[in-house]
Amino acid sequence: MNAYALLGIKLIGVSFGSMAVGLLFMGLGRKVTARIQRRMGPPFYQSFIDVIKCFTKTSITHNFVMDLGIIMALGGLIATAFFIPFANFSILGSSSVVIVLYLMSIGYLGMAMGVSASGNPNATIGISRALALMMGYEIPFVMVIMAMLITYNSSDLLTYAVAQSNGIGSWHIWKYPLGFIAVEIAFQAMVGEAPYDHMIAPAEIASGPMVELSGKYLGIGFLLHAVQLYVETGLIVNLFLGGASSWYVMLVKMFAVYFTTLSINAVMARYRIEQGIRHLWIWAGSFGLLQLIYTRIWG
Amino acid sequence: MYLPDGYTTLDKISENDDYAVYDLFFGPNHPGMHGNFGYVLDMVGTEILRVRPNAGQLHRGFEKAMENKLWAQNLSLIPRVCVPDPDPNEVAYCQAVEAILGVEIPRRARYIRSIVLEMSRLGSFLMGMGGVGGALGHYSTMYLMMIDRDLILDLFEALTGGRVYHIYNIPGGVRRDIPDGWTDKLLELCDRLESKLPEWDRLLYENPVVQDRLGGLGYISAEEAMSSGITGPSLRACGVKADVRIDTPYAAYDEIEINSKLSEGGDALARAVQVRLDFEEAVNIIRRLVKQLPDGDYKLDLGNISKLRVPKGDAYSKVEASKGEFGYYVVSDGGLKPYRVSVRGPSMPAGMYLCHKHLRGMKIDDVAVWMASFAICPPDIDR
Amino acid sequence: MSDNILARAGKMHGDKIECREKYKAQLEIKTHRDYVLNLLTWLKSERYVHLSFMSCIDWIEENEFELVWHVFSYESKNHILVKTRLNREKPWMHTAINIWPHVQPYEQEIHEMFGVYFPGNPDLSGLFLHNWLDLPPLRKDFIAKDYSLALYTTDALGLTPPFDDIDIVEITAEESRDGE
Repeated sequence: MNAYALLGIKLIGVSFGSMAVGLLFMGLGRKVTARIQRRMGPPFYQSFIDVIKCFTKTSITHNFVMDLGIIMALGGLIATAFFIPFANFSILGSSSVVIVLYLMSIGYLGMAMGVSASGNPNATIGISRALALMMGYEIPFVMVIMAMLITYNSSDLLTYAVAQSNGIGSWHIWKYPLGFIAVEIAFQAMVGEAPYDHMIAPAEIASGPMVELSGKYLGIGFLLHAVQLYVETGLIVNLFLGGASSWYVMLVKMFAVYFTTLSINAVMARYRIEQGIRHLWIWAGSFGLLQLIYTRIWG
Repeated sequence: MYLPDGYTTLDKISENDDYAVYDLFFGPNHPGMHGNFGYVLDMVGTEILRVRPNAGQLHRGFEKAMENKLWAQNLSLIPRVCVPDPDPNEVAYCQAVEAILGVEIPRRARYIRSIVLEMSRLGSFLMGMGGVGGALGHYSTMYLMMIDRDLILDLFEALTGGRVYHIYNIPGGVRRDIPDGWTDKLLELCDRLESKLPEWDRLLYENPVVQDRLGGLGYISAEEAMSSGITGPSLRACGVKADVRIDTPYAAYDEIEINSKLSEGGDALARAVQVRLDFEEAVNIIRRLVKQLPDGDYKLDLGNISKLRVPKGDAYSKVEASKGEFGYYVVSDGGLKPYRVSVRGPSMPAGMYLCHKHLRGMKIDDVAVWMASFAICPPDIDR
Repeated sequence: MSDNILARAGKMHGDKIECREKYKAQLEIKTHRDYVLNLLTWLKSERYVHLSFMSCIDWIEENEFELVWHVFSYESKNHILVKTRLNREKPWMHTAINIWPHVQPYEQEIHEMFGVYFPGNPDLSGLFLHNWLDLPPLRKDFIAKDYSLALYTTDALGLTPPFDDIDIVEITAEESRDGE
């Protein structure tokens, strides 16, 4: 078969596969949260039903900029998904972590453009808080990445994953413990769960950016969250938990990361935005900085 | 509206930049609002400049409607004045009517009224604490407390037939007697609720994020609270020993020992802790009431209650609800229907007057939490 | 009546007020409109710091409005109703916000529901009612049933059965989506 056709099939497969994996995680996550809160919870395939239902409803759009923004957000996140190695299998040949961090912000920026065009102040406040929080979690994250860059002299995620494939003892979680703590704290903010769930915050800003989305836009909003889950848990697994050699081990590890996030979410309230950013810089940032200094000096 | 004088940097920004100030409807249709009530907020960035209460979405015209119905028919309207805590309304109205009639209800009826009031207080506290948790994003607390509130509502259904609105008190006593075995189930429920308290402490009150959020929010001093009309747990959290059950005892409270503990502080954290202390005490009060429950009649025979004629006069009676002091001022001109029923709701001073002083300069993050901490519940503002 | 407030009131204000004890720990003081604020200020200085609320009653037969202030003392646990009567034709009353600032929403509500004017109150705009063009509704000469029939029935709109003069327009599904 033509190489380009094969590539096309792989890309389409990853696009829909990342959405499916993300929706499955969301559904299982709702079940997990419900059991923590002593109730039954919806079935595990609930998120698929939600997305299909959203696409069958009528949508309201305000102008062309809103359409463009939402599509740009989804496109940016799916593009990021192409660069995450899945079970030591990288589609486009390179999987630089720098590209991943760069493309992930397109998701937020596209969402910002789309919902600001709707003119609802709730949406604007929500997205401005989310962007401010991004400033908070990017810094500790980048410090830990720099520590790994120093060690491996390469920014390729596949290199990191392969370097950890000598059994459990060689995982980065033991080699960079402070970095792992920093990334765990920052990860709560990346995924948007308590104590840093400022983007959605229903009781304060009426669900932030989601307040103006209806019909297919709301469906795309769900898919954005799903792909974001896939990308970010995949990132953590490749960085710290040793990648994986088969797809089911990879899925199990990704869900384990998400499970930890949900458990912390169930018992924590939400910080104020300035408290949140300050805590991220002070706690996650100091651990990341210590890790960076340690790696630079003692290698 | 009555605004204190002051000139802040927010005013300077809004005067120099035409586009800086925008309107945000923290409005009737909002997940963080407890009911159909709204604040129209003038904001700069995420800080609030000015507040305009937008009341009236829940105005059902109760005070006018009550003038067109018989004395006993009004009891179907009265619980709806306060949604989470409907029994204090019924008791206050019945007590006002009994004061004008000049009758004393039997002792067993007073005890049953007190038990029902305390159970309603527990249910409302659970919803209130869950409301604080929900406003903070701590949904586990909300769900766990709703489970326990459901059990209280089950007991109410066994006693009165209704889960949320009971229509159980009538002028002269209560409508029917306690069924067999109900008090045993009530004591079991008290044990269960008391065993849950350590878990809620660890989850909500000792949570460092919750303490960070609630500390220092909406501070009010004792003198200012007393002269602003704040009553109930919010006043006790400022250190003032004020409880209608002790000050002007009604129902069976003059025969029961009530140890009210105060939490000092005056801010939202002290109010939340005060709710928890009151909760513990209410469970103990129920146990004492059940132990001392006397035998006897459960209502006075006032004849056909639909043809009740109340002599000319007026009376004001108040009860201690979970949100504060609920009062009913009833005026009668000697007929089959009330001449005027005027309701004193506990949320009006905080919701309509204190909002101008406290919300000014606050960030949008804290509006829902502030409302939940003062137990502002719109149905008794609008009636 | 543990603090003998009525005796002290009688000594202080003499014949300007009329006192009565209604029930246990519930007292009533009646006075003239222009003396109310003096009385309320004196009561506040006598540790009656808690103003519960303010009511208004429409005595249409006597052609008068009656305003009632409910004050309470945390020390002596007495509840006092301060009452005054206003002329029903042009009802007005001095505002009490300089004594208790939180009485402003209560006065706003009484203005909306009864039509009593409070000069000095900074905001007497409508609180609960929306686009209200009729009488103040809690007055006794406002009959709620007639208002309802006048505004919300087909007779009022001038329509009689079999309603042939109403144009019922059917919008197809495509037309309703045209706006998107």
